[in-house]
Amino acid sequence: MNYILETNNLSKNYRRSKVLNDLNMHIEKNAIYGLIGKNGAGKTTLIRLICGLQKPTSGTYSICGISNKSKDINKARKRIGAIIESPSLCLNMSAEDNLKKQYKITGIPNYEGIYDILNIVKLDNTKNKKVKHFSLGMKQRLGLAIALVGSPDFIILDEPINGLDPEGIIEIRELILKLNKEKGITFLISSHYLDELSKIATCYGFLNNGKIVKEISQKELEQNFKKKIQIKIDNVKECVRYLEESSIPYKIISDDIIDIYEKINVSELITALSKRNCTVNKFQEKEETLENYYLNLIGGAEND
Amino acid sequence: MIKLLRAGFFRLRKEIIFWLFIISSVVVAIFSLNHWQSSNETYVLDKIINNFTLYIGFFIALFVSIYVGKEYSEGIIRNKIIVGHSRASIYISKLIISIVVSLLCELIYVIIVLIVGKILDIKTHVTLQKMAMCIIDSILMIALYCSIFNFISMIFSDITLSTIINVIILVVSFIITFYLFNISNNPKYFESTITDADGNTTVISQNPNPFYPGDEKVGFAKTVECLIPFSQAQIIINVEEESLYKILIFSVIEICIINMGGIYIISKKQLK
Repeated sequence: MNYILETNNLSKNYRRSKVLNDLNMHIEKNAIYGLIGKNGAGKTTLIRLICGLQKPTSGTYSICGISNKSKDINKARKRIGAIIESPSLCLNMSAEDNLKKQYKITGIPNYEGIYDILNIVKLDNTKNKKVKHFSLGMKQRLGLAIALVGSPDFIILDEPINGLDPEGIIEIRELILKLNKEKGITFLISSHYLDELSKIATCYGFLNNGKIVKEISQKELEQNFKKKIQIKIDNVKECVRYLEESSIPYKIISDDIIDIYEKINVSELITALSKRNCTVNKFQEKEETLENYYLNLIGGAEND
Repeated sequence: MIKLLRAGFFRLRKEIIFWLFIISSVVVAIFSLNHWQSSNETYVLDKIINNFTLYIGFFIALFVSIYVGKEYSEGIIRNKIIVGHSRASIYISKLIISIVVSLLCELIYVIIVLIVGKILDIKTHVTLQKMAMCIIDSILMIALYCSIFNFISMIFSDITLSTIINVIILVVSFIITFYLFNISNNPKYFESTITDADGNTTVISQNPNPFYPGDEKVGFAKTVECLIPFSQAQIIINVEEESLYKILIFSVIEICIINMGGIYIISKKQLK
């Protein structure tokens, strides 16, 4: 398999705490990889290692097939762009000057393409407005524009929609999808906004306690999503007794709500329950969300 | 490296602290000329030219702390590493930019003093060779200041903290300089002299100075003076020939050690 990023038993210790623990991760070309994990799971540390800001305690990673142990790793880094926590911007410069500076940093001899990039991120009309007067969404888009300088193959975004308003979130989402489709750029996105991530990601990595607990593609995830039936009843004890006797998997949600994880004959269930003096007040078919999947997965991992 | 320097100089044009540094050198030049003009001395051009070396440390401390600190706070250094620049080249590029800016300000100061000095007919007794030595030492002193402040700013990566530390370093070096010069300027003997009508001076008696700290202590103080940039400035102003050569050697050694140490530490540093 041709991976743009691959990690092998990557570990990072800070004094006595182990932030990353033999982490293995694989990102295919042209993917939008959603990195999911709670605060302190090690998402930002992993990104810092990949970007060369910190060195791993043990293990290796490779970018575009070039190992971090290789002397050419800095050449491989020229093929990536990143926004870590906040975009790298000179606040007292205009958007155009920020891009010009980035052109110089990357060694591009002329300013060709600057207006195309500004156009892609919809900042072509900001003229001489200084970045310090930009909204958070504009700064984030400019950060993406800077990451785009040098036509990278791989862009890493750490919490790209943090603090953005709904409009800003939509803009960033559409921009990522556009860049992925039109320019074939691979993305690694870490985010807490699972609902938002589920709208763009093509695969996911679930990070817990410094390890990737599961890597799964969007298609596989959809197949794995359990469909459930949620019922509201007036006699939970009787309902539970019936479900146990019938070996139907279930979960008690509250005093009067139970989730059933199996395809059942609804009229049979209602009839059976009414015979036990249990009335079904509400009946709803639900599909599991990425959020539920994550919680079940992480819960399971923690119990292990 | 050239890419980093180009980007750095491009950014400088928009930096207020850079323009403040330039303006300050003009202001100090005018202030120095005005001060020396009021003293009615003619042969002081060398003193006026070298006078800026006393103040420049303060301006370099502020410039380097703010310039490098902002690169950290705005994530520019992080961005440079992400796109594949080595930490050593980032460190050296910051140092070169700081030195170039500081020398530019020194040059502006010297040009103003020379032009106005010519108009006001201010002269100097100092030979061309000594003056050249002072200029070389001034350049090295500026490079040493930049090395120290760049080291601190790159290591601490916090604009406020590095500014405070750099200013503290300056204040401490001022105090140490004051202390050292108190030791080294202590005369070994108090001499009684007579000056005749023709202006010839004759020593009639020589009494040992009871507070003289001893040859060893004075020698040590004179050596340490050559190590501290603030003391170096004082030596340059006084055109102390013997120490001018020591400054040259010591500064080069210090610059090498500080920057090699800085590059080593920055290459091990965990960046955020």
